[in-house]
Amino acid sequence: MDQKTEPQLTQLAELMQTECSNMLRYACCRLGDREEARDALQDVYLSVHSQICGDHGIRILDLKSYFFRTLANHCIDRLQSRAKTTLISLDDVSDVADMPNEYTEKDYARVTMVLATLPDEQAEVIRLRIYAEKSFVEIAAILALPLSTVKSRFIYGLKKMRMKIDRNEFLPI
Amino acid sequence: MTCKEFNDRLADLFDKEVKPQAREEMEQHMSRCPECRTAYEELRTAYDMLQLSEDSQREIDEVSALIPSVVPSAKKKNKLWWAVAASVIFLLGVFVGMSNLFTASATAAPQSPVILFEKAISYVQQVGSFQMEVYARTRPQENFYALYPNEDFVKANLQLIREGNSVFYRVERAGERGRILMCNGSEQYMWIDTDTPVKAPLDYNLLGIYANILYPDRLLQRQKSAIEMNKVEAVSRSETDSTVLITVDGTEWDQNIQQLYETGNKGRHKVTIENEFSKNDGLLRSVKYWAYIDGKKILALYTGPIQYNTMLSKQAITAMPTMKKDKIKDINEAPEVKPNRLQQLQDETSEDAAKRIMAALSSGKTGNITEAFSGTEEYLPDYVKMFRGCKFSGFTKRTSEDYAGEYVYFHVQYPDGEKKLSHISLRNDNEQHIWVFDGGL
Repeated sequence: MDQKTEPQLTQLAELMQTECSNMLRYACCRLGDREEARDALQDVYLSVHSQICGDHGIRILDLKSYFFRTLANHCIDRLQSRAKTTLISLDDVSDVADMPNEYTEKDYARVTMVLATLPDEQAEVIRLRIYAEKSFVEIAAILALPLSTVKSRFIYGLKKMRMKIDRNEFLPI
Repeated sequence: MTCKEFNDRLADLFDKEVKPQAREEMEQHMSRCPECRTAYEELRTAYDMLQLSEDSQREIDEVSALIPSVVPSAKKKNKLWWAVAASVIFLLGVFVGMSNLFTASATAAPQSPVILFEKAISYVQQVGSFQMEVYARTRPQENFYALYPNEDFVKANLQLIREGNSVFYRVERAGERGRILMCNGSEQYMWIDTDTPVKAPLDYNLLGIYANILYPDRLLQRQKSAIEMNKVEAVSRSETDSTVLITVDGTEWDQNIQQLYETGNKGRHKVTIENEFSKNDGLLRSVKYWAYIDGKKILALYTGPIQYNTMLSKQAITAMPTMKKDKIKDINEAPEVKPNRLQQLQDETSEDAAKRIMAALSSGKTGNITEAFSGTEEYLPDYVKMFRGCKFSGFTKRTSEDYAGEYVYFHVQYPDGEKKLSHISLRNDNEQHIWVFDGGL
């Protein structure tokens, strides 16, 4: 451990304390599955930790944005390796009961299903805004996009959702 | 602010922190521009729908709060390393704990039927919405009380939304001229096609046997109570990888009205109810209702997979055909009767009324049965067509404890010589106590 890694590790630890709930919520709604979300967050944490502490430890300028991007990419990898798109089967979504733990898991599946009907670029902005509780400025930094692009993707995503609601497109077949 | 400027800044109202001045400017514009306000509110609806429940939010916060505060000292490198390592280990521990929280033990003992029912009742009572398909042996136009064991299955779509103390539901039968029942939170409406709807208060039971399906917790509660009071003949349990099937053999009020005619009363008859629960979450997934008739076990009603907390549209659930409001009949509204006829109609028995009605349908001269079809006049042309030239005999009344009206059975002989047993449902629990049509035929 040297002087380069200490601050980064400290920053990482502080990030986990302040952002853990946001990251976990984001991952739950990205993957639609709570266990997998916690696995993903754990994997990303250990990965970033290892990168900082490794022999050729990297220095990350914006750790928060880097962590969220890494988490997003990791979620995408998991979804692809699951051989599914972000769609959740209707049978899974249908198993929603309003009880602690079991209900929350299905709550994640519900929002995952809804957002899966949107273009991913719009859905991602919505996820980061609502579940990761990031401001549009922070989202722009995470996604390396202009602020105006982030805002327009957000609005277009909500508009598209609204149209689907009005057309009853969220009703199961 | 122009509308264009408002639209350009609309996203700001959804940002993590909205500057008070910016919000005030937007609000001022919306107060003057209904279109922009509508645009905002529509997006807000979509935004609100994406919010996680309070339970989900709280769960995440509670788990996250378990992470210890780790503020390492730069002077103590060794302790820093252990502190970070401890945080890693602790995080793993937290995740393991979460795993235990969320994953049911593979070695958990099978739960008793009563416990399964209790859990499922509790879940169902707290869901915000659900929908399912129900298949019942009946006729598309029939009211929601009767089952006909010799008929094919008629599909009905059931949808329900709970909002606070209000309930919105829709029961829509498939098929030509399928009956539809809708509740908009304050009143119920029932109609067939674009026929005049009938309006009824919430406490008026139009759902019939579908009440137990639309409120599955009632069906589960009845079975649970029967098991607890040893009023069932048998309870069995079987499992697959993902489901638990609890089968209850008991007795129910007979909904087979043909049997009512033959035996003289509905009484109680043997039934078997199969309840399928999801192993993963204990939710009721489907129901099958078997009735025993003449020694044969007949599947009388079954549901498709019950889908909980799906995103249903209240607008779609409460949609009604376009019609003039003054055409909607109140189910409690007294039929119009000429004064000199009132006593005559009040003195009739249900059999007398049935004879009069069927004679009118057979002749096509329906002038003297308008009171009986008050609110259901649109059915008359179809019934005239159905019974034109027919002869009727053997009018026999039957009653049962679970129906406020009376069933009048009769034999029909069609012009081509075919004979058939039919019935008409009549009730006189209106203000004028005259018999009015309530189904059958």
